[in-house]
Amino acid sequence: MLKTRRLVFFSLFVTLATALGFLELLLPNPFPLPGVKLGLANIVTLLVLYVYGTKDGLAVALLRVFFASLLSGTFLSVSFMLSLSGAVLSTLFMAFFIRFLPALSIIGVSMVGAVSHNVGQLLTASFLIQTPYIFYYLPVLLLAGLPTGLATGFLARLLLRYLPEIKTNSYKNN
Amino acid sequence: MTKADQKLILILLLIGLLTFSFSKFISYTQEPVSQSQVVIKVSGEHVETVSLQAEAPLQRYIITGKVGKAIVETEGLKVRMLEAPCPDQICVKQGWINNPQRAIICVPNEVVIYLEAESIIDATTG
Repeated sequence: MLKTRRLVFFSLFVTLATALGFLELLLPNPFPLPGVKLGLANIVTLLVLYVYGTKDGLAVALLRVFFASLLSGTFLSVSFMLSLSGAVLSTLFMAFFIRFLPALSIIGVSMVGAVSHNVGQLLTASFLIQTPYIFYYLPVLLLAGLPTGLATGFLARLLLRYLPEIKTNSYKNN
Repeated sequence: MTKADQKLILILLLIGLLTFSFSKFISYTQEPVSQSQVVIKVSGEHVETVSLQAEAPLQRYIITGKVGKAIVETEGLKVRMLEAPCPDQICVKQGWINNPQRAIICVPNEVVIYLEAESIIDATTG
């Protein structure tokens, strides 16, 4: 019973993350800078990290990138590699900060996620394209991660209030 | 928002501003070049080097990238991506570049265009 419940919620989170990520892809980018976006899908990863823990957060992030790439037809392309590296790095960083810096609220963790996502993408881009010139773009992405991380952090905090119910009912099984 | 959050914002802001001023500093200390060359790479592999001369007429180069054909245009000491097969067209919107510290990078098509000052040895032999 508990296992099924967990599976259902986990699937819902993966679906939600995929849909949000894809939605953001369809909307025109509100930022004039390449690579800068709000990162709505990161909200879901963040919530799963808080509610279920590191392993599930990472699983949601990986599955989200995989499904989104299938939807947009970019599987194994450069943009797939970029989102994969960004998602993995940001999830690991967020999990690390949740565990070892409890003074940080979900908003701070969200900012860590946004910034590390951008840095991870940039690292992969410079590796794939083999040019260090892309690092001139680092300050832009670092600074852009602050407002977007703040925005998604506030949204995640609003949503987290409604989630403890799921947590108490399913966490024991983990 | 906790105290730690605010500290984090400050730290990130500081790192951002530091790296920003550092990259600005590097581009300002770079001496202006009268001769430069355009290097075009696809998927990290060098495909074309074009010498740029001031007053040079407009020229077009067709580059085959990962996705498709892109057209690169040079005029005088500047270069731009005229046409690209990528969906977001960021590289095209970037317009002309003439600073050796700038690069046009088309991620989907894996095309990188950057300027570098022509080395002295090349200048004397060429």
